[in-house]
Amino acid sequence: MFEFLFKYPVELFIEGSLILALPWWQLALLPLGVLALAYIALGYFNLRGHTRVRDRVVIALLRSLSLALVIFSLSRPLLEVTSPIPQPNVVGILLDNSISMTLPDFAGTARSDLISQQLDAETGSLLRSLQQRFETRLFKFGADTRAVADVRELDYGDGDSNLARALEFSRETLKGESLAGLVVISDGAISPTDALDAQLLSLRAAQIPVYSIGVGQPQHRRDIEVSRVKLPRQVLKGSQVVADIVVTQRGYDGQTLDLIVEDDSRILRKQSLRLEPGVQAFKIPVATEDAGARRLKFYFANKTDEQITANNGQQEILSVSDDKMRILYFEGEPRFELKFVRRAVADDKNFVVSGLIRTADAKFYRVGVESQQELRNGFPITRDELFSYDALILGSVEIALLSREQQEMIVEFVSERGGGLLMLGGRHAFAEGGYRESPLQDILPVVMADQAHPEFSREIKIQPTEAAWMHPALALADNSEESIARWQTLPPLTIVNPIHQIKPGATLLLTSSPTAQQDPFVAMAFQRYGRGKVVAFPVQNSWIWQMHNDIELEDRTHENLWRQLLRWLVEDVPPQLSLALSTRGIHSGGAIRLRSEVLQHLIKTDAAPAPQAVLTAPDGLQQVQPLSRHPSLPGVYEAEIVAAEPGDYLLHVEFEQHGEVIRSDESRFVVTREGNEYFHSEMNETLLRGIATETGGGFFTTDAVDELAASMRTHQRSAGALVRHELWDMPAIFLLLVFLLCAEWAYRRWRGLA
Amino acid sequence: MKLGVVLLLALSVVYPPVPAFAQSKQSDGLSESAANTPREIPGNAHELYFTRGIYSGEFDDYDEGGRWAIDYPKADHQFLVALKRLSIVDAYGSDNAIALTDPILRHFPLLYIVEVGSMSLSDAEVLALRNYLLAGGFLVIDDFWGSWAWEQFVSQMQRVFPDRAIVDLPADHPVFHAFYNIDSVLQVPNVRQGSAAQQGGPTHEYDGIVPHVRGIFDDDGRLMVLINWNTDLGDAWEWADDPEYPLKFSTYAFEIGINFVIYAMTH
Repeated sequence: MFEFLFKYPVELFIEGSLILALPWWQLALLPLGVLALAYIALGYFNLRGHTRVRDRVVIALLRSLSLALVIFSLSRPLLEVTSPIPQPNVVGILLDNSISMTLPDFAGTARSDLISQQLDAETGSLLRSLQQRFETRLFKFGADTRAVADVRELDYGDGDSNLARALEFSRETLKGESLAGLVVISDGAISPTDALDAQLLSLRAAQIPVYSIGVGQPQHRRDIEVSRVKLPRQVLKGSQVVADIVVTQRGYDGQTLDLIVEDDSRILRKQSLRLEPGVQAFKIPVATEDAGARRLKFYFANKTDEQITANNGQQEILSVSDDKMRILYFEGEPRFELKFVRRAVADDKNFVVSGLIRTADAKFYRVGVESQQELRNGFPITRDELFSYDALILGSVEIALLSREQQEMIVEFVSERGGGLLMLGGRHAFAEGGYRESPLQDILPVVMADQAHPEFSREIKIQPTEAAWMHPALALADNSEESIARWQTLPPLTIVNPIHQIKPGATLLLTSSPTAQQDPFVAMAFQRYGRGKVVAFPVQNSWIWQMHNDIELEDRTHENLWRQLLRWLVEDVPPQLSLALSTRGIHSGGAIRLRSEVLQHLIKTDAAPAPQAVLTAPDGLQQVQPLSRHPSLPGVYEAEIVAAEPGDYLLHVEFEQHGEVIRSDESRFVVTREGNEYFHSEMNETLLRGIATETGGGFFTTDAVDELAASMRTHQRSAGALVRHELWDMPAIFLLLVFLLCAEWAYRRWRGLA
Repeated sequence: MKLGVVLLLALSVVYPPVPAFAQSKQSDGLSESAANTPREIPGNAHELYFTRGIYSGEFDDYDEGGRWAIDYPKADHQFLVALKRLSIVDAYGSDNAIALTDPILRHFPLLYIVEVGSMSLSDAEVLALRNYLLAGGFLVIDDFWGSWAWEQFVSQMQRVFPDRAIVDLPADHPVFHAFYNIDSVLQVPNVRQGSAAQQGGPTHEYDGIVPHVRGIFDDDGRLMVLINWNTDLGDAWEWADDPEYPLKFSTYAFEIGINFVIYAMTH
């Protein structure tokens, strides 16, 4: 009944509010209406004759009510309610615009063909099926993301696929629309990042599902990929570096192929590798002959039946230093070990081994010093003096020979300076030298005996652990089999420091042959400590490997071992001013973070200026890159640079003090158009499926792409719209008006009035 | 003077026993065949074993086993007392005579040989000595006098190193400054002439009037052989406890001997 009289249910009147949508010109007539009412009222009151006052009031009231009702209807009464109104659902389609999409492994054509076929504005079946249920918005993503109107705007030229940024950008763009979900069409050649994880969590929380379509084959049919090359950042000229190579191959199981190592088109090494199914790691020794930033390329020759040849090799920049590294060898007593160590590395022009030997209780002898001032007062007593060395060898030096300050300085030398420390065995080394109660105990990689064993002496046969077979310090041949075989032939050495245990985190490199009676001895172990490296070599007469009657005169094992050991000890010692780049495989347009660090002891004043970085582009143009001080790490300065064009870049950094350049460093990097796009390029179903699962969407292969539109849920997303209902034509108004007019007529009849 | 007095006191108190593996001319008149018998390696319990080289000589048959053993073992023992007293070298306190052809020789990178004027090496000894030196061993030659001894020594060394020159060491060579600073080379006489020298007698033997310290270097310029010609350090060590033997000679002999050891262990 209510709804019949008032057009709308009662709840609507409860929720809503009544307004008059009177146009402005009608508002101006309102005073006229009021005046008309007043005129009518006065007219009735002023009537003369036999009418009584009560009659005039009743009639005037009825007529005024009728007139007011007409005015109310004319002023367009509306009932305004907030009402949910269904909106059309929108789907954002994110299209991978990276170079890997041009790979020709999708049904014999490029991966990008799927996008062209399925999402063409006129003929694309996937687009059409989606548009039957949703409104669609297209985005292309690579290093950046942009909205596009048509797939013809894609050029597949990006050297990166930043999906996290694409998801964020599309969500931001479609904010306010009824987003039913996002569709990602990609090969999944995307590195999982924290940013991507964060985006997926956010999408899940907002209940926006991501549907992914994997383009490309999950496995190449025939392909060889040098997936990773790991080299030390810097080595000394003449060092043999061991490159860690990861090779991934499909379709060449059991074949033996040559891996070629080139230095600027000059072949340094060719090594035959037998390929096993899947992923393999190899250690490839490479000799460095020329100083400077060497561009080393590791590659397999292209195979004619290979799907992708652009991933057959990788190149890395290796900084080969011709600097002289300074090593301080401190001996607490005259020992032949010092003589033979110096002799072993004497022809290595990249070392200066300064020897300080105590020859009597308070008498020191210096050998190999570079100046009359060097070590003149014995073992360094200032940080500046000690930190000017890159490595320290402690021989048979009892701890009492070093003051507490010197002991703590040695710890800082390793942890902060990043220097290398090598402690040799001897009757005054390790526990036998009193090191157990010293600060150096913390930094040594071995667990020393509870008490000293001053009379202990044992001849041991040294055994390399697996970590030593191809270790840059201990490899005795180009391959592990020959290296192990050579180790077996070396004569036994004497150990006077019985150590059986290494610390957690340390690496055991050399040990003794196990016996039934005794646990093996630790013959060499190392660990990183802070920025530096600590090596324990608790044997006292490695010179036997040079002098022994079984060692041929031509044999260079002793020389090579010590050369390798000392080079390994100093090669990753950070320069006092260092420069590091955040990434490798840089694509043009990509951002690179650079970090430069100045060792604290070089900074003499708080007001020391930041290092100056200059970037030299491939065309020779130089650009100063301002570095900003790290907010929390003292001595660390950072900047972000963008290398727009492919080519070789040189980054040079200098640190000045009092107007004088006191340290400098430089690094090179290569920028390519494709970045890493041709690597790890098999369709990454795991990642794409994970993205879909994480957000409640679904994963589809190219074969099942037709099912996508049907499987997407329509979201009853709606906007809270204001709805206005017209009230002027309510039956109740009409009936009330009729009633008032009839009532006036009846009253007049009853009272006999005109 | 102080050094000599200290040493005399030390020598009177300490006189180390002869070790089991040591060979003594005085005890058994060691022959070449006996010296070549393989022996137990001492285990490198000490850093330095002052090793006397046993070699073949022209007068071995007439000299109770060989000229290599002149002043042996007392000179070695007394030198070791001085070395251990004056430096912190972890030296085995007794003698250690090893034949040149004994493979164990390679465990002892410092070798002391005397009376090389009568040296007459076998081919095996030539090869062993060459390899020892090229591997890194250091040889100190002492106690031979005059031109004929020199000629004999040179003829033997030319078999070891046919093309290597023998040169005088300059006064600024590190071997003269490794422990003591020795500014000039002093002629050290034998015990008989040392006593006579106190009364103004000569210190030299035969025509060896001028003492020399000479050397043979390897291809990398490292000193391999140190030659004390026209001087007798061994006698000065052996007779350092004899009141008749002049202190200045034994003092000098100990000083330069210690220098040789420190140099050999550091260069």
